[in-house]
Amino acid sequence: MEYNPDKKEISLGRIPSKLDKFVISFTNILNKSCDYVIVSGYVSILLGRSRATEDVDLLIPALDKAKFFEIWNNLYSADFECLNTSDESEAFKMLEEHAIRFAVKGKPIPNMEFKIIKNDLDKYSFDNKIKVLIDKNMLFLSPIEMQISYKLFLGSDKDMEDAKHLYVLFSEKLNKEELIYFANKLKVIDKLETIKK
Amino acid sequence: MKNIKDIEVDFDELGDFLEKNRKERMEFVKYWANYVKTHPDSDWSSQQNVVIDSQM
Repeated sequence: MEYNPDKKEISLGRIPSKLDKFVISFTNILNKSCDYVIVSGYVSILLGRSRATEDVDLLIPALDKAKFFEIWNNLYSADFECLNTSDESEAFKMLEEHAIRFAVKGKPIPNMEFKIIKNDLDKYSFDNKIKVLIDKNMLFLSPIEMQISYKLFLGSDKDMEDAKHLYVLFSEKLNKEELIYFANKLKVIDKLETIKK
Repeated sequence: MKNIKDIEVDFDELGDFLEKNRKERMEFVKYWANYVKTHPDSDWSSQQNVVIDSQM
């Protein structure tokens, strides 16, 4: 694995897991219509964390109905379905309020949790996303410094372990100033100290 | 055999166990992250895929 922070790029030579293949097939369809950024647990998992997950969180910028229907139709043509509703107008309305989930038809796990960018942290992740090159495909991830801080904020054992994995893996290449800035912003500077040990 | 109603729970002991378990897990996370860092991607990912793919 090669991380180039200046280029915001990771070259990943991993053998894709079934989960990676699922994410790649979903994002390749999504990418035809809009940009996105993957956040939360799957960031750590793609980069080696040894655990499974049932969902992958993904953020997209606000979009109009026509664009959403285009994505919806492309996903349905590729054998994905929405787990919340089979009605695209209802799904679009839901998306304004909360995340909606997509999975391969008849297989609810794993699923993509599809969310609109709502706040400054989401927007920062999107604007500063990292490109990951994997198996001749591209995935876009939230910046590592943001991920570590956000996981510390979430604070469960699983989240703390995800944060530690990323911290140890990229310790020499992290932008420490940015990491401390986000840790302060999210009031988790004490937790950051614990994962440094 | 002890009656189910007579079972006592030592929360101090359980608390210690939880803390110890948490520390041990964190130690392993550190060990594994260093393994990922120092071994070829194909090596660590083939091991990690056993965990991930088993869920699918």
